[in-house]
Amino acid sequence: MQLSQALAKDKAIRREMLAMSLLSMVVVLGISVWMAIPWWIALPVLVFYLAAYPVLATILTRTRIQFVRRVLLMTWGITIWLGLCIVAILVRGTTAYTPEVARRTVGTAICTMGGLWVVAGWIARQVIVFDTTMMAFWGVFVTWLGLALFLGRGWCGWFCYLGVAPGLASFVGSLGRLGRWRRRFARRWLDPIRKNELSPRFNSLRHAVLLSAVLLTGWLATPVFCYICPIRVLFDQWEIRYDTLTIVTVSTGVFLFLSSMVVGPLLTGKRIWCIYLCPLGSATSFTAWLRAKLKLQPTAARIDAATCQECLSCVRACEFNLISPQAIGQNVPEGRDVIVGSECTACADCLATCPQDAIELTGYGHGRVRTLSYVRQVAFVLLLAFFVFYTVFLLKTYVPLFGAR
Amino acid sequence: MIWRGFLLGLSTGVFCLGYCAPVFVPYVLAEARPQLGMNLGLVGQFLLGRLAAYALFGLVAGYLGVWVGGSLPRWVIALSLVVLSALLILYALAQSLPRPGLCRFVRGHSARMPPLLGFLTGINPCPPFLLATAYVFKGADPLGGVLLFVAFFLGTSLYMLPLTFVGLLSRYEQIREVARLTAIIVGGVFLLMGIGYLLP
Repeated sequence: MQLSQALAKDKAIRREMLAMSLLSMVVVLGISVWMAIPWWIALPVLVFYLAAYPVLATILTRTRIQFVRRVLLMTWGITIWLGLCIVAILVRGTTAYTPEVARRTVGTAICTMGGLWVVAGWIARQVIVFDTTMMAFWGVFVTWLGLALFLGRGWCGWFCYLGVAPGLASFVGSLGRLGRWRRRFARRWLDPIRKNELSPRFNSLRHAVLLSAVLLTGWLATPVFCYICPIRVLFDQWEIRYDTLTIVTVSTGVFLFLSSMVVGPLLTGKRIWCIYLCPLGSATSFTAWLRAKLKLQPTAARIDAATCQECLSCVRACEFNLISPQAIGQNVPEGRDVIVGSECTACADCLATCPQDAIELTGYGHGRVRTLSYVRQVAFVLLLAFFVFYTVFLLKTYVPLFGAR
Repeated sequence: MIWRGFLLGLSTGVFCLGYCAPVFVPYVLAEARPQLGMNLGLVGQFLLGRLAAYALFGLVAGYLGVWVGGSLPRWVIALSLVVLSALLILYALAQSLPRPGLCRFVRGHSARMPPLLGFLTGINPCPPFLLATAYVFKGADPLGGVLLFVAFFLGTSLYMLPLTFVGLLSRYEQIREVARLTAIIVGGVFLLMGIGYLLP
């Protein structure tokens, strides 16, 4: 892409972001006046939208976005985790979620995966399997659904706070002496020809985990996956009792946490949890597949066969194990997708790693973010997320049916 | 009695679907059966197995007229779960890790598998099933018990018919792979639960 064209697109992105910022503020102001929203609620939202789009424009017009993405994702994930812990301590007095805590706490914050089990339980048994409030459920679940429908697996690369632990472990494992150990481990235990690519044999496992968890949630009318959820090591810890069920479930959860979120990513540089086990990632894949079927796919990695030297740096760099070395080795025709289109998480790590600048993501350019359609979608998603939270807040505040006094 | 059973089945059939789906969905998706007729046959055999279980239970419950209670139902549930899990795991392994002995065993018994799965899920007491049992106990009449359970079966079976269309998805290799892995996971959970019930 010519530099002049690229710069022209940068300008267009900034203009579009500014327009979206102003539009959002007008919408917020309009709603606030119409619904007589108190100024102390409307003002933070206005400030958020005043800042959000210019920040987004700055990110998207940078030459290398993967560092910004990593920092944003880590900050977002750690903030959510700390926030949930603080709220839990203030409300319940502990971060643990034991039957005793459940009895004395009416409604609880719900994680995004919990939304899936609520839906499954409701469809199969017409019961709410998770002790939560309607506000928490709709806020979390619909926001995920909106983001997943608009970004596809971009959710996993840019927003998923459940992937922060494996992402952090993978990053830490690349530093200094740990990085040397990782390379030695890869040479010893992983296929040297495939250059650190994990076996794709069990890539379907996370879909099976989702299907099993949904079916068993319907069968037992309880969120089965929550019993062994590895995230519970960090939040909503189990009650430790010495009965068979507790020993089996807690040890499984801790084992899954250590293996798929800490040790596995440290040793391989891949997000083992996200690749093989995450039911939410599987559900997000489904929304991404829907997007692809509707021809709405924002990103897909493509290789320029004339420039590619087949060094397989991108295979090593892809934390989600999505780039196929076989496809590269077979001298992929120009323009053909290297990553299965709908699975790409838009993390842009492969773009940053390629020494030949031979990879482009549709919706991106060579090494730079250049698309307006993708920007538009991100902007729209923020707007959607805002509307979801705002609507829930309004219902909660003003409609007696939803708990308003 | 017949109407009561049928209406009970109609009103609680979604529960039955929730109970049968973990067993039947992985089974129906694990092998390529692209034609609607094949899937319909499979669902029919599964339902026949359930019918046999319901009729048998109706006969026993109606004859006894009191809840058999105590340790026997617990044993029955535990054993049915263990056998169910073994069948599911064996079937999935035979599909994904073809070994001559395993394949021969599964192929030899594959015709009996859907009715057997239906029978084993049928005798697992889900809430609607227990409700129907309570009706039969009131009547304490073996023939009435069988009739009520047959009618109950007809009412609930309407909710099972969509499973026929789920089977059409088995034409995709990736979905078959997911179904096999799901069968192993679900089988593993059933096995643990069955063993848990068997333990004192």
